[in-house]
Amino acid sequence: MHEENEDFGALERALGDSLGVRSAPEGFADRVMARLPRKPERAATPWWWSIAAAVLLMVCGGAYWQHAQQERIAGEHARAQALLALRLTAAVLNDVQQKVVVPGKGETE
Amino acid sequence: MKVAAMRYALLLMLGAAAVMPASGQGSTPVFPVTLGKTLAARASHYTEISMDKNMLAFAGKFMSGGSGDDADAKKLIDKLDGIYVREYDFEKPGQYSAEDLEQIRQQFVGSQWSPMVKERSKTADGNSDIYVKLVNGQMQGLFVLDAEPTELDFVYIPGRVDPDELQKLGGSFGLPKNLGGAQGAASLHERAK
Repeated sequence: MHEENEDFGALERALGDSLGVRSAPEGFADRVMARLPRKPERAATPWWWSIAAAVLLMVCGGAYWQHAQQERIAGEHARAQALLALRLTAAVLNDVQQKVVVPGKGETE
Repeated sequence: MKVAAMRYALLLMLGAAAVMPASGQGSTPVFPVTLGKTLAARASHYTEISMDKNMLAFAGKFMSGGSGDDADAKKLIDKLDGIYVREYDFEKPGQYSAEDLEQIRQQFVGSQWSPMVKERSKTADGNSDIYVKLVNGQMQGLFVLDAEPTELDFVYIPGRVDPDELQKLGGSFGLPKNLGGAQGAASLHERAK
């Protein structure tokens, strides 16, 4: 029995020695990273691309805004013309009605 | 060779279709171009408005549909195929002749146009005519000629002109509220039936 306990204690010591925390040897991390496959490096975006994209966006936005403004101006002009036409029509009909309702020396059929 | 010939023929047909004038578009003004230019040259002031169906639809997009003149106008012009107005002011009488007016009236001598109002003055007060185009009992056009010694006005409206709606516009656009009186729009409506 006593010999079995001594054997078990020796086993524990051997396990503790083999499974203990040990620091990695010097250069271990570098060697592991060196073995990893290299990823292709992305080409750096030229700095002026951002400026060009911003300028293009501003030009397109400005052109759309200008088109919308021109269409709005043309639409307001058309609206004014239509209202003027209706007012002139009303005035002419009114004149004719006055002549017909209040006949003067003329003849009306 | 046959395929090439067919392609060439198809291109010719497409090209011909592209240059052919579109049919069924808004009616063209009935005023003789030469007379219009003559009157404009003699007038001290003139106003010419020509709006076809497309222009009216474009103008309608910019009219507020709430209430007021804009809403009334939009409701009215939605049914029209165009509106053409000519107004000429002269400094002195005698700038147009009776033959000029008759030349215009002759354009409305036809099966579809009916003279609704003919007002003639024995003095120099002026003449007035209203012609209505009737198609299947519905008013599909209106022409008004108002001639005075120093003023000449024409109004031509193709499309569905509803005298009832015209009557409802009394009070708007300067229309008198009693436009549908005995000799007004109601009379036109009765004659159109």
